[in-house]
Amino acid sequence: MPFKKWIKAAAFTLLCVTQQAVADLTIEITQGNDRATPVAVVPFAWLGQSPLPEDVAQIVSDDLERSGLIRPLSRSDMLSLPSQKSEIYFRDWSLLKQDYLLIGQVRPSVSPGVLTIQFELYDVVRQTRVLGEVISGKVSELRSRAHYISDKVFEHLTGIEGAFSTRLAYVTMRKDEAGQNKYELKVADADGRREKSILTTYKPILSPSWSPDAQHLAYVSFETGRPGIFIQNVYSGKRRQLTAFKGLNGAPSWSPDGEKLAVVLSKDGNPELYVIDLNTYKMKRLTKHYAIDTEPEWSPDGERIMFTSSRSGGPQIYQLDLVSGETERLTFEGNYNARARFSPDGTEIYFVHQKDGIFHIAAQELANNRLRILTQTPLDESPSVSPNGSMLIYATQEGSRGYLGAVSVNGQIRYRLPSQRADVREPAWSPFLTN
Amino acid sequence: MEFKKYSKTLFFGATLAVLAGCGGNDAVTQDDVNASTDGQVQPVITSDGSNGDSAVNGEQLGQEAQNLQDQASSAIAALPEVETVYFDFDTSVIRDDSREVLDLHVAYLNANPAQNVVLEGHADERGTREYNNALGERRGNAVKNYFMVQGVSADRIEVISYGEEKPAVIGHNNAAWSKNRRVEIKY
Amino acid sequence: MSGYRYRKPKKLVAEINVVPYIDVMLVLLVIFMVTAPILTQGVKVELPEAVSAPLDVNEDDLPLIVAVKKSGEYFLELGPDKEQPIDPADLSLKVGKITRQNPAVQVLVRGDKNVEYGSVIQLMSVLQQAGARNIGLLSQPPEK
Repeated sequence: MPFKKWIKAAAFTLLCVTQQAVADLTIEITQGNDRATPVAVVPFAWLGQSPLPEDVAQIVSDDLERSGLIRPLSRSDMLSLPSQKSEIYFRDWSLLKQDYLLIGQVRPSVSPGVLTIQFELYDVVRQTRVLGEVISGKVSELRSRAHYISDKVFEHLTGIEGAFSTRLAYVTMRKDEAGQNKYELKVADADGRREKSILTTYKPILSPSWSPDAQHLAYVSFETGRPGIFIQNVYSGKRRQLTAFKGLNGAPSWSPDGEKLAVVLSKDGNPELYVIDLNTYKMKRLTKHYAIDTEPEWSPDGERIMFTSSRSGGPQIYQLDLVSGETERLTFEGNYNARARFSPDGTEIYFVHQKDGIFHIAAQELANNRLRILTQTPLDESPSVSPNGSMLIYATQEGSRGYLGAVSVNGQIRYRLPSQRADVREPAWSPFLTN
Repeated sequence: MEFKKYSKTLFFGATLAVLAGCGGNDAVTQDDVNASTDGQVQPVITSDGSNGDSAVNGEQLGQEAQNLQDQASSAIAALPEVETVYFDFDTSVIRDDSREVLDLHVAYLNANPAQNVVLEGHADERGTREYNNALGERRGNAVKNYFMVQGVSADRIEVISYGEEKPAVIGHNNAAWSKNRRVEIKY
Repeated sequence: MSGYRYRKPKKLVAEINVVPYIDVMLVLLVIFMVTAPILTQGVKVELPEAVSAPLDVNEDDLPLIVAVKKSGEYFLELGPDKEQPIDPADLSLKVGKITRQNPAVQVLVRGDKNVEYGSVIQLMSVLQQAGARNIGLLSQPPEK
């Protein structure tokens, strides 16, 4: 029979099956990203005895999902749980519309307390292994190793350096048993886990800023009754008070080379920007204006300092060229733009923008000054950029409780960080860890 | 950057007070980021003489004010009852309705030349924290200038800004915000 | 807020209730009869002969194949278990996993021509409830 005739003679049958539509069929997609790459992260096989304290594959899956660029397959939708190549049926994963498959094994190593973790990433369509590594770590380091795997997989799939092994610093405030406001400076993994308090005081703490080597935090503490800028080693806990001038001591920001700190002082009568050399403690005044100048931020190339100034009336973002000494206004839309941060490549800035009386996080491309509002909640502040430039973390409010939100720089992906009992504010995303 | 650089000799520049916290003063920190979360440390005051003696909190100041108020009959001018003046959003301009309150304080200060005063500047929660710190200070300075113009010497007045950190009223509405944009005059 | 209450009298809701329409949409299921000369591996069944459209086998959109043997047993051609019969509950579970990720997946029934009509209807029902919207019945072209 000729081919064309088959088509013409195609027989269609209509079959009706009576069945009630049930509410469970409703599918709600919130903030979905259609272009997210589907990846099946199969639970890693554990070849040891007593159960592991951490589920490595779940940590990896959660990391990748949070990025918004990858859509991990729910475990309950997997047809099989392979942990080595011979157990993979690529056709099944194709039917599940998965582009990639991550499998792995954890097993005890010859040295006691140390585990060997093997992971492999497969391209389902090509049926080939595209990534594979054997790493080791102590049981207590399983979370770090899992984030390392997330970084590797994410970078392979997106071409963007993974930032899952980074940390967050933030400030919490809660009433203690006596009803006093207790402030804590905390450091946690980028997923909000393994939170540690590195400073506790009953006076406000604000503006934590990471050193470029991610070893130190500069911050403002009111613990003496007045604001002072402190520098603290995150790991050893050692710290020094850097400034205790009359008036404001605020908004520390590290230079990209880690040698200098830009700060705000009002010792000369008005809030002005200064740069302190951390080796010589020599100080240089950068601004001289009767208006408020505050919230300095170094450009990634270290040649400019962006800051907030009220010199035009309300707060707007300005940029001081450290070489030419010239100041340029960067924001023009709206009557309140403040506390700007550069994208790691220096092409965009993120800041607090007021529109219709509501404070949002906004982004602006420096090439064309196009502004886009990224957040919808009303009291958003303190944006901080992930070191790979893909996400922003910021502080916002729900009821009377402050919490941290995250949004991708394209506004498509959003998530919240778990806040427990305390009011959470002042987030600062660490640079890449270099150890 | 090597942190050891800090622990070695510290130079006090002519314009920069670099305060080296002694071992005891560092007790406020926890040793290791990987240490127990529950570890509790006591806040300490730095050894710096310029501010160490003034590390009092609001409650104590309030108590002192109360004590002074009790003794007010013996003073030449009475301690004014109203100790807070309010401001409009994103400005540090003294409102006309604040002048009466401020004038009472000027009279009190001029009648009690040994009395120093602390002006605590505050902002509402809207906008950024560091900008609000600056705004709170400008509000404090606006009151300070008002006092100075009327004869109170600058060395009797200290301005501390708490920005949005110490709201008088908790709430996300105009009523709360208008009560939080303020300067508190404390003795 | 008494004014608010006035604005919300239930009697005056003048909208078309679309729920019954959704019901109708969901119960309509189009079944294609297809010929797939390529798909002859797997469980051996004798396909019925019929004049029907050839199947477009797209590399990116593999079909899911369920075979029905003369005995009425079902075989889901997945993983290593192609030769193991599968009960309807397990079949529904596995097909459901696939349709959740791949709602447009084409499910092809490769039923033996001597299989009981009831078995095929039951299979159709299971597949439909498991979310399959595109079900095809495989046949082979009549020999001339």
